[in-house]
Amino acid sequence: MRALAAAFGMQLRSFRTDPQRLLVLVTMPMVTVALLSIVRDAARPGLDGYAVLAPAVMGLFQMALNEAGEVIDQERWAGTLELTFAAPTAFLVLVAGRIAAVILVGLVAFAESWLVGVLGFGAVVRVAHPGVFVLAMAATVLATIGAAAVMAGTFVLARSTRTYQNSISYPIYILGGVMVPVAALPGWLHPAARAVYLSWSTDLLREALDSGPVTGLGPHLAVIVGLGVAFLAAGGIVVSRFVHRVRVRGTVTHA
Amino acid sequence: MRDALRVLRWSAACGWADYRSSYSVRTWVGGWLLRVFAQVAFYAFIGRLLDDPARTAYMLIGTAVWFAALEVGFACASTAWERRAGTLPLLVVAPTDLFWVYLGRNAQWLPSGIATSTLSLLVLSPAFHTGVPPSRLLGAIPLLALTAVTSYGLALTVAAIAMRAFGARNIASNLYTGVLLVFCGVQVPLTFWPGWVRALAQAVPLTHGLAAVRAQIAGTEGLTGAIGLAVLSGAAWFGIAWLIFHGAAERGRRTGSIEFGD
Repeated sequence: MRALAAAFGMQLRSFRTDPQRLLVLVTMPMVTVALLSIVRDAARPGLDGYAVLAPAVMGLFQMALNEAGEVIDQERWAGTLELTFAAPTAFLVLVAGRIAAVILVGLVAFAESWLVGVLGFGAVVRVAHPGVFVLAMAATVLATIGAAAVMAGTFVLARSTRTYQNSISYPIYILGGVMVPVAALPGWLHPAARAVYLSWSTDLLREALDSGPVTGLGPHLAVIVGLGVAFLAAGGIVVSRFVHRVRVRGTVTHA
Repeated sequence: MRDALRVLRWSAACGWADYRSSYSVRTWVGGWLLRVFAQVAFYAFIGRLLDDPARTAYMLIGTAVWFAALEVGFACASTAWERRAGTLPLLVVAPTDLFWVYLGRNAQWLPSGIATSTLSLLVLSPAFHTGVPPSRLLGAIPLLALTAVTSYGLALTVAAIAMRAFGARNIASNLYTGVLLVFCGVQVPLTFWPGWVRALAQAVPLTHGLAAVRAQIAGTEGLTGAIGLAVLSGAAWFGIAWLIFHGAAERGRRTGSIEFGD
């Protein structure tokens, strides 16, 4: 637990040394302005909640993709990977601590987006079902940590995949229904969309904002948590395979 | 002038080599182009959510054209690479104008931006049933090139300013392209914004390039005027970029501080 906390703290401190790694938190307010301007220009203030929620979820996922996906590679380029392997703490624990810190910082995007809505457009988005919102967020954070672990392991295990790192964001935003719910997407996209945990998260988060009754809370949470646990397991396997491979081949560092 | 052209040619070759080391045809199509298509589709789907075909077309065209300006906006980041590579002091002491070097060094983004923008329009416009005739879309291609070229002047200006703040190059680049996305008539008409925002947007070549593309696609009036304003604003930004690069080099030579600008 101490190692987990140390990795968590180290990741937080690293943001202070290189503010560019918080780039997502600079750009997402612009996306909020863009989306709110669209719904306001269309005279659809009922969609304010969609326009505020979408950039927040995008910011969270982008942090997972850009920062958490890089944590192993950062250790490698810093020349500290071999030291972490030699330490009497499981490498996976250190990775988990760093990823958790990135994802929690990514939650700042929710506050930013809400503030942009209030200050820029007078769009006060209220959470009608706070309990549902908190549960949906907790499940989403868990799944995002799992997804980030898979990405962190995959990007170092199969280096060719890094070429596509910057390309998967918007396909995921469409399939994840971050702004346009899956139900409003063409039918042929639905099967792929339902394999993306964000599609379940965003459905539930939007329901939590709406004053109407929440339907399908249990099944939605079960799917998100289920996918999250599957991601965590897959991430653990991928990271362990990476550790095994570089140890066997003697390629722990290439810095 | 011949010397300037020679510098331009070699620096463009250098930029193109950089670009080819970043992308193969496979990664460009399967990676970058896929992402561009997805982002254009993301906004077009919002039009569908609003159940408004006219807005779907408006946002699709706007976002596709915005990519022409976005890609040349990568000059902000690629200009800073020279500093990271440690070659900036060599460029400063070289007997040539820094502007010509950077004009060529970032020119690789022009064909890329024009290509992604064109393909987005040609592929996604029919896919979203915008009803724009193919002949009108094809007629917009020279205007996409115009938008990219004129936007390059503004991108170089931002790059010249960002060059001194190496640590903030990505933030500057993303803020710049974000401002273009929001305030230049890409997603919503300029009339949505307050007067002072509309006035500032007039200085941005994308505003006029995009207006020209929309006029061409809709077959409405205002095409010539929009082209003229795009050219004028683009030329003005190229001039400002030259002044800033020139001034930075002169100051760097005089004070020897160009490598310690942060």
